[in-house]
Amino acid sequence: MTAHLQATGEAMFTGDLPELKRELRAAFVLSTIGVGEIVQVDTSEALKLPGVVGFIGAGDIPPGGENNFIPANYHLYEPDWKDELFVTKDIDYAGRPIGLILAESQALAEQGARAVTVTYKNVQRPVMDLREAIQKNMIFEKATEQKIVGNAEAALKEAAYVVEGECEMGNQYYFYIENQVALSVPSEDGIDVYSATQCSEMAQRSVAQLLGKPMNYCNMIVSRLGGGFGGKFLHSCAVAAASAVAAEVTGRPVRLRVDLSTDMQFNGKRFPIVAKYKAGCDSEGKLLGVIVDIFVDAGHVATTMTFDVISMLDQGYYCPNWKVTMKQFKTNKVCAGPTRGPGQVPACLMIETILEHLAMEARQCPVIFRELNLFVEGQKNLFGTPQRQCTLKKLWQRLKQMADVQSRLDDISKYNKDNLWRKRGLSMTASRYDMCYYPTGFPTHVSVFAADGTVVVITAGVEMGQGLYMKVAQAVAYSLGVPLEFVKVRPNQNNVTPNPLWTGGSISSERCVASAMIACEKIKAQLQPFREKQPDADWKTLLQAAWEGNAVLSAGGTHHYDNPQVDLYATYMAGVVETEVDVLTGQYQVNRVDLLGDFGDSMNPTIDIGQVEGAYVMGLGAYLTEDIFFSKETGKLLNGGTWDYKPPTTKDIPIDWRIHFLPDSPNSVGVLSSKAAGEPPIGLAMGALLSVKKAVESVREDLSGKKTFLPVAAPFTVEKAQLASGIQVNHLHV
Amino acid sequence: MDASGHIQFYLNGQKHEVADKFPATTSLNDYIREVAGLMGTKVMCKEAGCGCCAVTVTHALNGDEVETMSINSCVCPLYSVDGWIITTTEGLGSQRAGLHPIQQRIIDYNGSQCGYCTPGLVMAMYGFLHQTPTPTMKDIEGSLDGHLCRCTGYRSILDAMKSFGVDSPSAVSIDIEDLNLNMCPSQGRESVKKLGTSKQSDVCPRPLNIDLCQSRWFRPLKLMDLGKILQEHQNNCVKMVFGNTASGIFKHEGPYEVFIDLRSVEELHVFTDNKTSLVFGASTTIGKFRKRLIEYAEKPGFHYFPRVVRHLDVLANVLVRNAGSMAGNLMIKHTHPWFPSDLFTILEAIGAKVDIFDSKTGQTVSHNLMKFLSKVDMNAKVLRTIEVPSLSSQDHFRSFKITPRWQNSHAYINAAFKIPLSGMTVTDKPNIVFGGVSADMVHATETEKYLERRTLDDSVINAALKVLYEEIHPDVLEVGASSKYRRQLCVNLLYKTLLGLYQPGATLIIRVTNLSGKDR
Repeated sequence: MTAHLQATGEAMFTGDLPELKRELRAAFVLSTIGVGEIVQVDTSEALKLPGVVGFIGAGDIPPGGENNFIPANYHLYEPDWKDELFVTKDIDYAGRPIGLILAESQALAEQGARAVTVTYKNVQRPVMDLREAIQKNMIFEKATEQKIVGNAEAALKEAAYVVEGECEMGNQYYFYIENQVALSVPSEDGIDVYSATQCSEMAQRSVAQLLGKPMNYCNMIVSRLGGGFGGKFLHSCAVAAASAVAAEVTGRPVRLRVDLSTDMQFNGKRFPIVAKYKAGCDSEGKLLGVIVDIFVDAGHVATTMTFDVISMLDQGYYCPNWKVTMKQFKTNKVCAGPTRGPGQVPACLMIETILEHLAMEARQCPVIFRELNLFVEGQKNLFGTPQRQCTLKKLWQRLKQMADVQSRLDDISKYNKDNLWRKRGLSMTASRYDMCYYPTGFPTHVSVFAADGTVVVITAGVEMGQGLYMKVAQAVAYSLGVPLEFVKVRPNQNNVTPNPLWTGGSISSERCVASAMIACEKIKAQLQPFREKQPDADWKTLLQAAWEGNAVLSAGGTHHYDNPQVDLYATYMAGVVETEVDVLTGQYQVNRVDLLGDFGDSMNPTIDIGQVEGAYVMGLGAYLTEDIFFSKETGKLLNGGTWDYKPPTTKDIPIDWRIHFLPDSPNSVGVLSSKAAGEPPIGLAMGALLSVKKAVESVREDLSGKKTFLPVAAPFTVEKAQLASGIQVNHLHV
Repeated sequence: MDASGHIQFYLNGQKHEVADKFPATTSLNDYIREVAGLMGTKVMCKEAGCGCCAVTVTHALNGDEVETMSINSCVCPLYSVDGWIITTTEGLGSQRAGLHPIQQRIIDYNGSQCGYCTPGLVMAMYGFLHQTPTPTMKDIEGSLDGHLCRCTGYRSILDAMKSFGVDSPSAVSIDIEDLNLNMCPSQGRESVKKLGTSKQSDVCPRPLNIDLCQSRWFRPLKLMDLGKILQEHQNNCVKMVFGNTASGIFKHEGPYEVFIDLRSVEELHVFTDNKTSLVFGASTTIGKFRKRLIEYAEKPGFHYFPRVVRHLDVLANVLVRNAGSMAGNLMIKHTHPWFPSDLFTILEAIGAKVDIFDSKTGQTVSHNLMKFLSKVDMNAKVLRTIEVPSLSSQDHFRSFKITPRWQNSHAYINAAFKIPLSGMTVTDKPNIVFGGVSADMVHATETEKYLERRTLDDSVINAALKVLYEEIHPDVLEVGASSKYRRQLCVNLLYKTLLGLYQPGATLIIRVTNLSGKDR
């Protein structure tokens, strides 16, 4: 609905707001060491630059304010955890904000920040590698979680086939194209904070806490975001709070536009894992038991972002016995952040690795093997929730046919026999994404203008490209019976839609829709007496009568779910992916992808197809190309830019890409019978890693004469693919 | 012509004069957003890597050829745009003025989710359609390599843009008049056509000498004038700029006291066909170089050009290739020898030469590239021309670039091989050239020696690969690929090349055009 504004560039992002009188620009000064203490922050060279106005650090927090940007009572990360906005002394990761340089222009602020010299003492070598942290037992004891279902050890003793192995996954950065940004403007009795945040209420708490002011001092405004993906979460609070502190101290508007390298250094990322597994199946291939020890690289504080790693570990596959242990380890990196599919992405990595390994051990076709283990109606997942309206088998069988899986497997097998240096692989995987309606809801306010019948909606849900505003506008138009052109959705303000949950977890769109429809019902109830008097009146006439009759033509609504901690429903999907690998270089192409998803009755298939495609390609990045490098000596992130960090581009996507929605599958518990689509497809990209791996396994077999299981390590880069092929000089003949 | 002390240019038809003293490092993007207040042009990476800042520019490089193309505004120095016509998304269309067909197409195909990358993509397409008015869908897909989008997964964007392809099933191509709708200054689009003949036009290159308080900005039009400036400032810290795209990789260098914009130095834009070689002015952009190679691909001796073109297609991205010059790329290699310059690797393998102008002597001297790289002090000197030789039909030429993703990446390893053959016998010293191994490794000299005069059978080939494996010792890097992988790559790329003599074809994965959503 704002597509035309986006296409012309008229869409206003936070960084695009017109420059205000006396506005200052700001840039972060970050720590350049991983472990040590600050001795001195020397800003003299920076302050000599004409146009550099000042430095704001820990000593400048206003009286009554607390140097802590973690919003109180949210129970994020460790309970009662506090973290300094501007570090005073102890450094525990490189990239930690020390302060802000304020200047008359953005370029000057950044130049000034580079001119600040920080001296440190007691500098130590940081721990940057998860395996080193495990070896040194740098465990967050209280964060250990365990889930036991049945008796996995006993089940493995009965198993016909048992495999043991290890798999791992690295960091992934969000790579939204709009970097973090906030603009704070002192007002007559408070502060207006324009923030690109997914969690404006958390940011509001951060700002109030830092300033030592009440919540109603801080007026939060969120226009659209240039992408979020979980990255404009906790650290967007730090950006908002930092700009607010600077504005409060200087009495001038302060715009903090974080540059890419700074954003990549100071923001959290997808957390790396190492997993050790042992799993077994019976002689037919039915899973009997799975034991997994998961080791998480949490960064500088234990994280709650792992909350659904265990609960989603089983994905689309049923197993009666589990023993899953997850331990978190401290490294000298910034704490992990929620990243699109935070639980599902590592979950798919682990479960698909286990299934692939077992299928090979049992000498079964991995496609058949997986099909045998798919969830059926009523079977309980790892957390005891029975599968309802479970369409997995239906999706699988339908997709297998549509994607012509059997004959393509035969073709690939022939192709791989005929070619030594060029190999193909095909894999098919299933996924399940549990949806939870956590408290609180998303307050939404609908106003109808009596003069002409047009409508304005303000919703607490944040539009970040996922089409939330469009779905809300559609629902409001549908509910009120007005044309879509009558409805506008305006940037959200916490003083209209207070106390919302953050936007994330894929379910915000539908919950905002539900809230908006509650508000519309209230307005319709107001209109009802007038409608009864004039059953045939058009919308404008009806409103005129209602207005004259003192009807209230605006209303708020907040949709709540009675049992918010329990999974409400799951989005099921299946995918087939075929890749081709030049094993001499490791370079590959994704030749074809077929995806089939059960999205209930999609509210807007065009939007949901876009969500599927975007999520899948972000998954291709996580599993194949995106890798973060840190200095072993200083702990500094080394590839903070586009030339060294590699999200997929136009030619890294599937060449032939077929996306299907399961028809006639209304979700009986979903809003307007729909299901969420924003995150569920991301884990299916694990299939791309598996098929590249299969291609590499084929050349390994050709060269060594042995069929061996190649361990999984994501991202499975061109380098890893090539090195795993085992090709040596003496193999190279003409 | 007296040098001007200020600059002027057209932005969406409005004339802008900049007399203010912005720092020389001020970018065109800074000006568009912060001074002109046009927020449709976005900014993100500030290193020519993401494309959201793309704008379309029209200029006459040396006064007699007007061109329109899109570039990254984030690395383009503000003071280099004197005489340019610049179009941003605001100039293309808006709610009030109506949408441009490219903007409309993005909407029709649902190619915008969060919308932050969208204006850059629209502007890239706009510039591309000027350069290639009747593109195929494949051409279009190849033109969007400089853009990152995290929301869409690109399919919808590609479908929208490919609908302008002459071979598109939807076959709704764009009228050139529609394309130009809002590009030109107030006197209308005629002015662009006139540019070619009217030297008096205010969009023609003119010399500049601007005092920017902390530095001075020069734009000479003649090599002689450039020489004078270099002589006058031999004790100053001097930065010569063209597209300034290298600043995306090597950031915050300087400070410099003197900036010299080489864009309009006439002698640096020559092109000469010597039959046995082609001579390119050093300021030839990578994009124009590529275009010229396509023109010459059918001519005798230049049969190897299509392979070079394929390699150039993965050198940075279209927006960088539009802005950056051959000399600029070679000078990165000269200043930072570890940099895996694709252009250097290719040119060295084919035996290209460079002419270097020395402002102290006023002389121009020819060098081979190895001498330029390791022996020539470029202080007060400037690359003048690059001579690209023809090859014998017996010369086996191959080049490669191995990258972490398909495009818009630096090479882990690049390689170019020229092997003179008679039948299967190597008749002379072959060139086996690598980039990305280490700062001082260019030729695999032992392997070259080994292969000379030998007949390429299986045992010779395998022995040569062993020699190569022994002489490659890649640096250990903190970022990027391991030395083990890069070493094996070097060997495997030579193997592919030699294998190609036995099994022509199929030595590389060729990316075919994406199937559009509507083709299925």
